[in-house]
Amino acid sequence: MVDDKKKKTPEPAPIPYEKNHAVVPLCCCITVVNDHQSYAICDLLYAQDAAIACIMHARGTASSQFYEVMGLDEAKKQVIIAVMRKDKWPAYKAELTERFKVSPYAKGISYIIPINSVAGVSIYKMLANIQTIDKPIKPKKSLIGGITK
Amino acid sequence: MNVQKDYEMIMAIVNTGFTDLVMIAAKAAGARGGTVITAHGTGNKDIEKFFGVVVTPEKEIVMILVPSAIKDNVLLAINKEAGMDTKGQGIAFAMPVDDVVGIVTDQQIEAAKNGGEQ
Repeated sequence: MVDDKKKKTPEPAPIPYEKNHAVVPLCCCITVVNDHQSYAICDLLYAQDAAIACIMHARGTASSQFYEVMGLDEAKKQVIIAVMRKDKWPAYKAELTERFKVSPYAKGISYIIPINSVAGVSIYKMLANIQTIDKPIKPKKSLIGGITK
Repeated sequence: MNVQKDYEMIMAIVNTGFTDLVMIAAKAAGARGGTVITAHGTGNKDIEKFFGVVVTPEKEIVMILVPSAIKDNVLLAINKEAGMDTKGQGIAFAMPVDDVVGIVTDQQIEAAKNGGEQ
């Protein structure tokens, strides 16, 4: 009898995230620029709410004739891999186009690869840079002597 | 006209020192240039025993952005020159690219050579 009273009614199944939130597709944005240009690109990415950006050192393999034509003297590159919302790409692309016009040294390429799966809602929220609160925050109880009751 | 949709990214993972072979093969098939990143392989020991190959941990990744029209040719050329049957022990695959910015076209290169506007 006592055990039956303790039994709680089963909680309703949680509503899938996509049913009550607008889900924006994510994309992996890869930007290849000349050496020492990565921080400027990261600033552009973070301005477009990119969640993470990973900078890697690399080297270009284009022919030396190509570098001469483009006015460059070295093949050192930096690759920035970032995850961003796909609806932010047009604005980022426009800013990047303006940046590439600054000088031959500021030139680079950028492209996006679609992401079709993420491991969990919390990871999606982090990558999409969406801070939503699903559960209402309970107000704190009154403090007695500085200790929460 | 949506030119940007017509690109794909080829990623080739090869043993260190074999990126030249990859790029020579890719350029012969029509690619213009690529980007090389240093990496570290973590092969499965059981698979190594099963196939009788030794996975060298030092790797290099070559990223090549190519028009979709020549993607298959580039992949085949890379596989022939630096595939798993060679010392390069390379794995090459392609990924779809939704949009591209900053690509220099052949016309722009020709214009730059002739002293025109880039």
